[in-house]
Amino acid sequence: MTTVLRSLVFCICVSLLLPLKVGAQAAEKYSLKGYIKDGSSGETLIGATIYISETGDGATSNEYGFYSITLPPGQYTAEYAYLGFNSTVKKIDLSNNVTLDIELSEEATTIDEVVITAEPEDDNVTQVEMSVNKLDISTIKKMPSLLGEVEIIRSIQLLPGVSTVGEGATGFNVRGGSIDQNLVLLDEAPVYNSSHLFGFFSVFNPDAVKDVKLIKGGIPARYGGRLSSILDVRMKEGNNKQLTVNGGVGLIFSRLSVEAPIVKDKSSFIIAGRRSYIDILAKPFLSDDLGDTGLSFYDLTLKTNYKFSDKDRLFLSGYLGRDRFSFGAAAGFNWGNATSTLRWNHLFSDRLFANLTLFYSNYDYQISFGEDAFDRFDWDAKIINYSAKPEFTWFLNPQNLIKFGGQVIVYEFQPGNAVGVSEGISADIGLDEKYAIESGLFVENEQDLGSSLSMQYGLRLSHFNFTGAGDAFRIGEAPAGQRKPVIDTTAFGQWESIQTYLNLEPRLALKYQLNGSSSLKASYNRTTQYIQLVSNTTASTPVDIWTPATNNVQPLLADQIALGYFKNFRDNTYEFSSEVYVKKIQNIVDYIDGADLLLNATIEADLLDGENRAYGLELMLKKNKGDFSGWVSYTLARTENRIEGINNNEWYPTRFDQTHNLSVTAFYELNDKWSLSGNFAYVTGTPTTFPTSRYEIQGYVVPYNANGTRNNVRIPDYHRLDFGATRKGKKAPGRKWYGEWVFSVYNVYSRRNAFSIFFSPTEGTSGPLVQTQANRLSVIGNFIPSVSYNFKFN
Amino acid sequence: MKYAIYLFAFLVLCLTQGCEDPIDVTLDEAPALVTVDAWIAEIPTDWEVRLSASQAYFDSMRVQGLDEAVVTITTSTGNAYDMVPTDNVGTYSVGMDAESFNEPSGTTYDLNIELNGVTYSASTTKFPVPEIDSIQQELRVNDPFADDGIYCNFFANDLPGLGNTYWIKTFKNGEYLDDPVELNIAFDAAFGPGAEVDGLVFIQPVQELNNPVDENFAPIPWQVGDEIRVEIHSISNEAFFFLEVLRDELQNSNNGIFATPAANTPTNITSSDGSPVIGFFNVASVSSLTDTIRPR
Repeated sequence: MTTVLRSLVFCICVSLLLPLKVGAQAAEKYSLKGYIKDGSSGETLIGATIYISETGDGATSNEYGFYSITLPPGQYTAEYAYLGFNSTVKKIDLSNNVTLDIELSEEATTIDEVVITAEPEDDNVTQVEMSVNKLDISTIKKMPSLLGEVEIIRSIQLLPGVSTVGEGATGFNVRGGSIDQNLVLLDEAPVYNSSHLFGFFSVFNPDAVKDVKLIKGGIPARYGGRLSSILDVRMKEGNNKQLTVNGGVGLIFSRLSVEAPIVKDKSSFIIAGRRSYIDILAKPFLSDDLGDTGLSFYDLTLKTNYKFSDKDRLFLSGYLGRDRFSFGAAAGFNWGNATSTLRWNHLFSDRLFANLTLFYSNYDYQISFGEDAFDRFDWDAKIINYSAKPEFTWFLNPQNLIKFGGQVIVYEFQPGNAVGVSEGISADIGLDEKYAIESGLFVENEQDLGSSLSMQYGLRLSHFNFTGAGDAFRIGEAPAGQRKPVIDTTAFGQWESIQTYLNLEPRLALKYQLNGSSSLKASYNRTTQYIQLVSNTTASTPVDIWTPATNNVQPLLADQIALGYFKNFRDNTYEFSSEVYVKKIQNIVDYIDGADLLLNATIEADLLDGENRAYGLELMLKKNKGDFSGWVSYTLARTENRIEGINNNEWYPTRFDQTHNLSVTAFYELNDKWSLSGNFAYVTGTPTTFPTSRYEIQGYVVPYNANGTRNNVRIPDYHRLDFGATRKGKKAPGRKWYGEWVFSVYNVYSRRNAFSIFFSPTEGTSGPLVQTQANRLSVIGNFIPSVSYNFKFN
Repeated sequence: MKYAIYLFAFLVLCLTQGCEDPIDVTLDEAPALVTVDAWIAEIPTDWEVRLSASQAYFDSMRVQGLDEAVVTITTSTGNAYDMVPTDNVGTYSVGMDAESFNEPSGTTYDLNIELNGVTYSASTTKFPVPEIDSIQQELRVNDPFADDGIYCNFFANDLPGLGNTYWIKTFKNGEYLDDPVELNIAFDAAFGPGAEVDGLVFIQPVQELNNPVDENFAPIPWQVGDEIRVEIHSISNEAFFFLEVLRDELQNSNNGIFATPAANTPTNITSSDGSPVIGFFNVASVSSLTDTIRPR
């Protein structure tokens, strides 16, 4: 706690003192500002740099491509750079404020080269931020993939510090955190379920994605609401120079996207859609009874923008996706996300950039079965939120970049609306809605403290108000591990506060530049999470529900410290990073044995609480340039829970704890026609619980763990090799059509990796003399070849 | 609502050519624990209590009965029943007739077992049970989940008041349908606490789980002439949770990637020396209805 307090006091002092110091200097300086864009499509570039050779000062373009740098009057040479693009050098006469929009052109020589990082060459060493991985969408597209489908979430799983509970499981685990501790943002709107088809494909259409950034530690104060990571996915704005059509035909689904200017250089749009056709392909293989079975998913991504003036720009983006399973008329399941985001960029001055985001996000599912209106069961659940988020970026001077702002999120939880009808008599077994308001205020500063030291510090104040309308339960005590009694119930009116929480979240990151090619970094962050996913299955299911912190469920609190050493070799051809982290989480929940998680109004009585600790070492070596490129990532980690009532109240590894996690990703440009890629992953088997004994009661033979242990053994280690090859089309000036064939083999040597081991009676035996056996469940039991065709027309 | 999960698990395996195969694993060693199987039901047959020792999970030998115990049941109304060993595999019983069932609902029953110097004891209450109104036989055709044929529902109303719990047993030609998927328990008129469906007819799918299932959990139709008997046993809330965990444990293997962490069944038996013990004691009122499947 002293660490927290100290950094808090430090942050407050610095925030208060800075403006005074700067006010005195401001008058005699001018700003150079503008947008940095891709010359061919007009897309703004995130993280492009400007470097002033005379002073050595620099700046980076923000999420909207905007940059601003403030200098004393004079003649300057400004170099604009972005990896994979030709640098541009401009002579600037800064005798007053200058606006300069820059368009960079793609490097001709790199067209056939893989560009791994969409950032300037030595950013990993020189930037304050640590524990951050950026993946360029063109890199993700080159990786060999399951069934040939370009996959953002699966790609992330090849990065250090990221794990998954197993093949096909939805989501990802960052530094020992559960999947609901990741804030997955699509154009700033949270996506509550990032998967199609359980966990095989993610909801992001690669043709519409511009930039993917994963923040695992040193999380800046502007992000709040989740403990473990931020996955910030930014959509393309749409080509504002010319009509471009991208598409692909694969084994599972087809994609098509269209982007074009509406008013050239002022307004553009992109619309991108995907639809699966498993249902059509599967039809011949289904028996007559299942002939009406429908299995499909689709998603639609839309974005448009309009530039009103140099000072104002509006963006509107939306996502709609759904998975649908139906079994004739008798039963159906469907689920999906919908998000929409409206953003307004406004320049208050040459140095004050503002963005106001309004978003709506909804995740819902519906399940129904029954023959007719007299005998049926209908069940649906939702999480809806509305949010407003003003953010300001103040380009104070080359040494200080200040961001401040706030956010309000209004949540509506519909944890389960369910009606069962029997012989025309209907029984409502649904649950009441729950409501909450989460708000936050933040200020952060990225400060250069001289030639070798820079830091980013900030503070977030977060507040959560769990409100009516609804019932608040008072829960009593019970022996550890058992269901608690509900003592009484109090009804609250709409927006009447039931419980509030207030938390201060200090954030701090430091960088010490050792020399031109290496640096040391350190970070501390406290994060708070007020909503969580209620799930006790190995892989999360689409019917898991989100629930707010209440008068009985405390918000989650995490403290993380990370240290890192970053070094580039051979003119930034190789990047090396090593990081260690320690993370502690308070107030995690688990469930009593036999907990009812669905359609249970008093679910709080079934919750157990405890703590989590995670620590690890992450190493990564990346080769960025040349015909042969790729990376090796290795993580040594441990994540453990201690929960009152589980595992005899002792620490035990979580279900996604992986001691060793090694992955190798490589790309090779064979010639003009062919490029090759490969992945290899080796992961320690995840822990699971085995029984020790069996007993017989009422004719049932039941497994039992007489030692009361949880996750006491590990399933066999996981390893897998994938290959991919792309046959590229011809690129020639004036040629409008570009096509490429992508071949891939997933799980080349057909390893039956265990997802889990389960215990069951041996087939054909029953009764008191039943034989019992252990079984390995493999989600992918074979190698999976695939072919797909991608095209681009402009 | 585990049904959705089963279906998801099935879909995942269908879609991914996934596979299951037996493997050899080593299990932790554990001591054998005393297991008490004491489910007393008010039906005109002997009351039986079985005492046995748990065994290693892969040991498929017949369970070892625990003999030489002294087993008694006493009621809050002052009756006492001494149970005597009836075989040498741990079964203790007492002959009962219809008159023995005159104890009113709300009577407390105490089970007392003296074994090797340790006293195992449990206490439970007998709750009332609703009558079964009818068994409905219906012909189903073109149902994606079931072969064409005759299937049964039962109709009964949950007793008024929150927190009544039941074990609904179905017998086909006198044989109890003992697949874990067929284990049918109800909390009031629904399938779990918190739903608060009170006093209504048992909802779907509780009323429908009276059909035998095959190895893929698809219901098997009844044949004309089959005898169906449905019994509702009143159970304590604790017994409901015991059966719920037992059922989930036995079915967890069907849940694939959506399995829940392995859990131990709770118990209402305590031992005088604090040693761990497995099992449950419940005394049930029973209502039943028998019918014969007719041509449709």
